[in-house]
Amino acid sequence: MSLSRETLLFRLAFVFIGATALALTVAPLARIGAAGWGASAWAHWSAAGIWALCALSALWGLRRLLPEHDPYLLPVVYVLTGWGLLTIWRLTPRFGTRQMLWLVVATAALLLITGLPGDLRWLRRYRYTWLLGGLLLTGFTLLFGVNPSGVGQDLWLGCCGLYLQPAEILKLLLVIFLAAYLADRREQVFAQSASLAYALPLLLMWAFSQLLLLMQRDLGMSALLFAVFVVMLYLASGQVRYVALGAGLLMLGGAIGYRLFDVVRLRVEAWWNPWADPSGRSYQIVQSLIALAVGGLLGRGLGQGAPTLIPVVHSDFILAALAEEWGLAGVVAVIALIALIVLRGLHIAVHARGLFRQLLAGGLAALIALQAFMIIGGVIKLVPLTGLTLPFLSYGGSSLVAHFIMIGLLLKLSSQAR
Amino acid sequence: MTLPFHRLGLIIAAGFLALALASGYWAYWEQASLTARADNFRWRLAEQDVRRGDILDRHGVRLATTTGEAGDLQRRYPYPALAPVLGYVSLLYGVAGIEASADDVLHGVLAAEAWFAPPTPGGEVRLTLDLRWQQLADQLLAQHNGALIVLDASTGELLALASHPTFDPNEIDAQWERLAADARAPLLNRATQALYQPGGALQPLVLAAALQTEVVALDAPLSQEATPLHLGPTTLSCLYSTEANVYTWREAFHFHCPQPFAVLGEQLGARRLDQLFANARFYDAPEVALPALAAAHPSPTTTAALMAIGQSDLTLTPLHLALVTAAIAREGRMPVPQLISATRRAGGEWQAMPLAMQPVTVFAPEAARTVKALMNNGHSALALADAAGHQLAWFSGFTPFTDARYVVVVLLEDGDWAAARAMGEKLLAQAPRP
Repeated sequence: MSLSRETLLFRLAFVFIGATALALTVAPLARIGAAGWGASAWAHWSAAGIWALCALSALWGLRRLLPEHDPYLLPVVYVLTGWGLLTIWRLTPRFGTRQMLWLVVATAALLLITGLPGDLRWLRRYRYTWLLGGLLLTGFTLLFGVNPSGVGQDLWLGCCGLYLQPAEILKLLLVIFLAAYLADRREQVFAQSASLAYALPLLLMWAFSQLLLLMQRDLGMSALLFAVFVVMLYLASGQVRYVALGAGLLMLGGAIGYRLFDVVRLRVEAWWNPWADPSGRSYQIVQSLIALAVGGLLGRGLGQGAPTLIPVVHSDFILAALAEEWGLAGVVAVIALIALIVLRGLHIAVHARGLFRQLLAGGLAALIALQAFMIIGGVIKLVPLTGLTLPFLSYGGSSLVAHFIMIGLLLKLSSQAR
Repeated sequence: MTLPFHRLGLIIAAGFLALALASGYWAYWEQASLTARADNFRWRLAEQDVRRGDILDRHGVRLATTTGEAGDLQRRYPYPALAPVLGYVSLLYGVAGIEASADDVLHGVLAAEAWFAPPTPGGEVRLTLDLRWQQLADQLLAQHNGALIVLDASTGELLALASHPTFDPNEIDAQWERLAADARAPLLNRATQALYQPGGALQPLVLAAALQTEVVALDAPLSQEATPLHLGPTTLSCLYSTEANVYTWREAFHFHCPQPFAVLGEQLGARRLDQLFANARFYDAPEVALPALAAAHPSPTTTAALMAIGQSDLTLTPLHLALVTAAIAREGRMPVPQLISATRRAGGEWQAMPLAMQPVTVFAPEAARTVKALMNNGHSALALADAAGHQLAWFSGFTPFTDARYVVVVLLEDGDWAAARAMGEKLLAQAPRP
């Protein structure tokens, strides 16, 4: 039953991506007529083909490796990545080619995670190793960090045209660590007569991650990990006061950051009143809102908009590009699909066996939800802009691979439900 | 144990709903105001796909054209010095000049509705400018900062409209930062957009008004002995000869003496002068398909004497003075200025551009005729631009004498009135003989 539902959803995904690719081929005809139409209109079919191969191998592999798994996650994830891949290709074919190769890597990573023998005990046992590895990798960026685009923060490690953003891996490893630690030490950490000694390793590891990200000036990732930390404390304890305390601390941190860091102040000001400096610091957000407005309810149609007016639109602002050509309908569809992934993640958490698996699934779902909320909210001026990728859609190899590993873990957890 | 997970699910659902609602706010409720913003460059991108129409001079010479293939079209200006009139088309900085005011005609339309149909290229615009006049005007103005206008007084058609310093609209994207920051303001069209102290350039107008109201007679002796005029630290004297040789109004005008006109202004009174300036359309921005400025009424604290010698706080554009000069040359009738003569849609017929308003009578024909005779050789003037004594030079003239047709006005910001007169006379000498 569940497998046939998955098959049906995959068929829909193939129809949707195929129709989108076809529309992209025809789009130049509609825009400037037959004169400007040529072979280049077919180039993105290579991406669509690779996507189809990845989707089919993931489906085929998963059915062999985990016969019982959540039927919604995989089709929804592949619709989003296919949609994102074609959008990136439509914006900048060069980035589309790279993203296409990253999708192959991400699919392999997903199959590798789901194919590892046994349950996820190895994750739990070596929690310090994982997190320290992540921290070390992130720490390297302080020394050897680069930025592939040549300007901006040096958040990447890389060589020979291949770049890795360790913070994307770190966030995943931190969730694993928190789930493992809280599952083992819940009683002691949340006891009435809580001893600081039990909470100390937790706080230390978390504080170290925060410090590292702050030193990198990766404030968006720092805020994301803070929020995930608070959510996981709440999930483990069931006590709202952690959320209240976390929200208070986040406000305080924001206020201090506003005074200490120019980055924070500029971001907050560009959010609160972008109309004050629409051609300078607020250029990106104002152009993003214009793209949303130009898109209207149903969009300008594929290839008919001009989303490249937004600087680096293929990364943080991919939703604005989508909004212009697909309209509000496309934006709501993306939000709904991500919501579906998150809610399936929470569903898996509720039905998981044991506290570690529950917290892990819940933490991963919360991580996806918070990241999507922060970046979509930033693009539509609901919250200050944080430089995060939109899960599954944005250009970025590390982000794509990390999110596919997270989906792999959720699928693994779903197959070993109670 | 599962309660926190359910609660988290609800909170996340609420957060995502807020995202959808906020998106809807921009995409629906704020749609009109956002898409209308000047920094929505979308339709400008179409310029690279659909040919924009040409701008032609009165004889069909191309002043602005589009080159290249669909997908990579470029706007080209074969005669860049005309930039203050033609303006520019830039993806980053928008449109200006004729490119902006005639944009509805010039820009093409992508065939977004009609699939497989070729796009509609833009229409053409024909200006009243004559490239031969314009080239001469630009040559003469050369390195001087200022403006030079040649006007057909019988029709109001602008034949040349030069403003220096100018810029190269072919390079607008590369040079914008420098141009916008340049203290000499090359992006400004000095002929229509810059307000200057008129100074002695008002003398023909004031004299005509005085003659018309019979406040003075041309050959009557001055009501006061002529003296140099002290204005703050500066002393204004006759441009030719000296005050000692000036006895009549004719001589006062002929030698361009400021002080007798101050006396005349007091005799006329501030109210009558204000009415005169209103009749001369100083308080209206000329409608010439270019951004143009209007003079502000002089403040109530200013004196009639200062108003009459053009040293009150009334400032005007060179185009204002060109139109007044045309009225003096044409029996007191002021023409309606015109810069666009006709437009034509792609594949269509030329449509004449209707005049923005009716010609008006500024003063009685007899008064106009008398002053016209006095300024047959053109009228030079100086104006005191600031308290530091910085001066502007004006020249206004017309040709031929009977059935006067060509009006020339020169303004130089460096105060070199001899150069201004030389430029004006050279231009007038180029006019075709009847």
